[in-house]
Amino acid sequence: MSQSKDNQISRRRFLGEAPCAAVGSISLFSSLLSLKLTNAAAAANAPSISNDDDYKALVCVFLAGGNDSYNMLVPRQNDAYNVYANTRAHLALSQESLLPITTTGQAYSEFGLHEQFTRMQSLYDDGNLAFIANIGTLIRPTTKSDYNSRSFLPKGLFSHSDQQAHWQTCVPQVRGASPGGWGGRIAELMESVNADSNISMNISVSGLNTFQANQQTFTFVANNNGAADMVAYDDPFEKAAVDSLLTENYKNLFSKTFGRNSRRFIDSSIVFNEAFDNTQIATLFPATNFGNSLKTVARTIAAQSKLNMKRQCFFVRIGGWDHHSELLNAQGSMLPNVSDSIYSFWNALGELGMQDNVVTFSASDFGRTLTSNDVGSDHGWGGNAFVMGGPVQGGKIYGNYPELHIGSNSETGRGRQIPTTSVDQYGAELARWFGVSNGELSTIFPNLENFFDPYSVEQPIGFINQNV
Amino acid sequence: MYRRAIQRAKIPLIVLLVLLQRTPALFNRAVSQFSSAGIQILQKAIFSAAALGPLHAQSGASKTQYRVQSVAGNPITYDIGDQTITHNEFGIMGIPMIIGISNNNSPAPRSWKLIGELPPGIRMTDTFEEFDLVNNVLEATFPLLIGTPTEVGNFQFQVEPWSGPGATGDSPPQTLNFAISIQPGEIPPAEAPVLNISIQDNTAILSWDYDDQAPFDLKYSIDLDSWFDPPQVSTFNGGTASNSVALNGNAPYYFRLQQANSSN
Repeated sequence: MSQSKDNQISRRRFLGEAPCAAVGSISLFSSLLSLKLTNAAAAANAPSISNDDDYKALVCVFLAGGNDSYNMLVPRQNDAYNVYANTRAHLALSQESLLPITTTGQAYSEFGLHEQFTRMQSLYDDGNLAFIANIGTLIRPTTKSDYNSRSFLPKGLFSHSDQQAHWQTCVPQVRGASPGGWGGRIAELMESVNADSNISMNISVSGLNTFQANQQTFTFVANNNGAADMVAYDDPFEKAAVDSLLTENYKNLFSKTFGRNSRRFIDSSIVFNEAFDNTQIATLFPATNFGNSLKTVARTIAAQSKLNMKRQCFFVRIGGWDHHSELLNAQGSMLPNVSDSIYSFWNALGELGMQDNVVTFSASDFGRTLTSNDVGSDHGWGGNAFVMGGPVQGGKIYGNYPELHIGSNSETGRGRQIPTTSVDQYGAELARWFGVSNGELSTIFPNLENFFDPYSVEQPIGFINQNV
Repeated sequence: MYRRAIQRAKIPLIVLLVLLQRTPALFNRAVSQFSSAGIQILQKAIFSAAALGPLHAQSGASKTQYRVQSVAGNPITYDIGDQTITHNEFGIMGIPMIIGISNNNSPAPRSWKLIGELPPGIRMTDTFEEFDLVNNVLEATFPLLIGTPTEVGNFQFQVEPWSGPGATGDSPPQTLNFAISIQPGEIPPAEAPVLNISIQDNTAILSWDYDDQAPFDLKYSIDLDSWFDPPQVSTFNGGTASNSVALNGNAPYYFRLQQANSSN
């Protein structure tokens, strides 16, 4: 009964939006379902997707819980810092503690990184790391008046499950994971590039996820010791028993699918482990879960030629960023792990001679409120992301870093920012570099054309140097 | 009189605080039982103080989590309460070993203090091997124990994370103890120094850096099967050894440095 009137949907709004949603969903799902056909055509007619024989990998680092990224990337220029400090109050970092960085393309040039981001500062200063400011899930460019009239907003704003799903599906008009992830759609389109490999293009070191899921794609899940082995499968009698179970011609569709997937997982695990076990990385990583996960990714990249892979897409999750109850100490404790592990990963890629072949990008549920709830910050919307790699034109903040005062044109209350760059633009730039053709970008990112002409010679954001 | 009354009240208050800190069941029961407004005010004051935890603890933590990972093994996580935990590790003399350490308390450690002695040959540094111990303090968040053990024995030491640089600020109530047992093993042969050769008047002039601790002798051969001592004894000047061998006829001469007192 106490539900806010703002959250209630009016009959007029329902009648106005329902047909749009229905029409939108029909065209969306028909294009997503056509991926398989597109891929088959691509395989039959030589790769229209990519003529590039070089190895390339994308690494998604998902900061689960909603990183307070306005304390990760902070204005340092005096006037802007004062606005930041005034809005954030006791959540503000001191100006002296910030690690200085400079950029072009923003309203001012002086920014700072959290003092625990020392290695990220080095990567930024060396031109290997960039930030994307105020990025988030959007259906189309959204103004404050759009927000106030609740027009074309992502479903379930400020909710973990919805925003995590939207970041990974890039279909924020549909709740849940059903549209599949954009990493999964890329893998499905580009499957033929890895035709000689038994291993899926999508490899997760953090379990199954929405980003890599799609109807026909298979996410290969590894842990820090390689792929999971089936106990006693090397025993000939056990092997014969399991093989006979899996090759049975089941009438039940579920049994058939389960058998087929199990067979595929066992076969690919054996191949994967043979290559993985013979690969070592000398670079040292922090003794943390995240450090170990990135080391596993580096070892898998090192094994790519043995696995006959031209393209790989990795997913690494690091959780614990939902800092409602305490922000400053908690975030300060977690950022060194990110900073040092990412830096180790960069060094490991250097050891492999792969720095120009791998792009690592961050994602998170949402940015957080700039104002405090007394001890921490709450769920927001737009936030800041980082991207690292040889092809990245680093040392720059891309997008539009917002004004951080309450009441600004991008602020919706408590300092929640309306994103000015969409995840679609971010993903499209990465996908283009990965080898997705302009003609396929809208299939992978159904809302992309609301922000960017896929056939434009310009980049959606501009952080990738396509010549690398 | 008031001062004495306050002092008297302090003792039961401290006892109550300690009881609440040490017995979570009592803490939770007390939190859930009281309801009147007056008691709630008192309750808030007492429970806030109780929640602060023991002095010297990081952010009120009475537990801390360490993670230890040797390169060959799976990581081991220790959630330490009041007890003392010792991480046991084995090494072999002459075989390199690396052990990574992290602490999951908040705030993250800025420095680590070493209490005790590391096994000879092992040093404490950071992930990127940029910093070393200074006065037994390492300025890093993620320390590494790295090196090649040079002595057999059992070695015990403790590592202690601190929230500030130079082992300042806060530290969790429990350090992590290490017991490292170094077993005997073969010492790998030392790397031979570079042999400098020049030829003057049909004589080979040879020189190399000489280390008393890892001495190398000059050998020559004309067929690569049999190796001989040179006709003259080598001379030593500071850290440099030198010799000369007359080259007779057209036969090829081969030279190498061989670890002293070894047969091949």
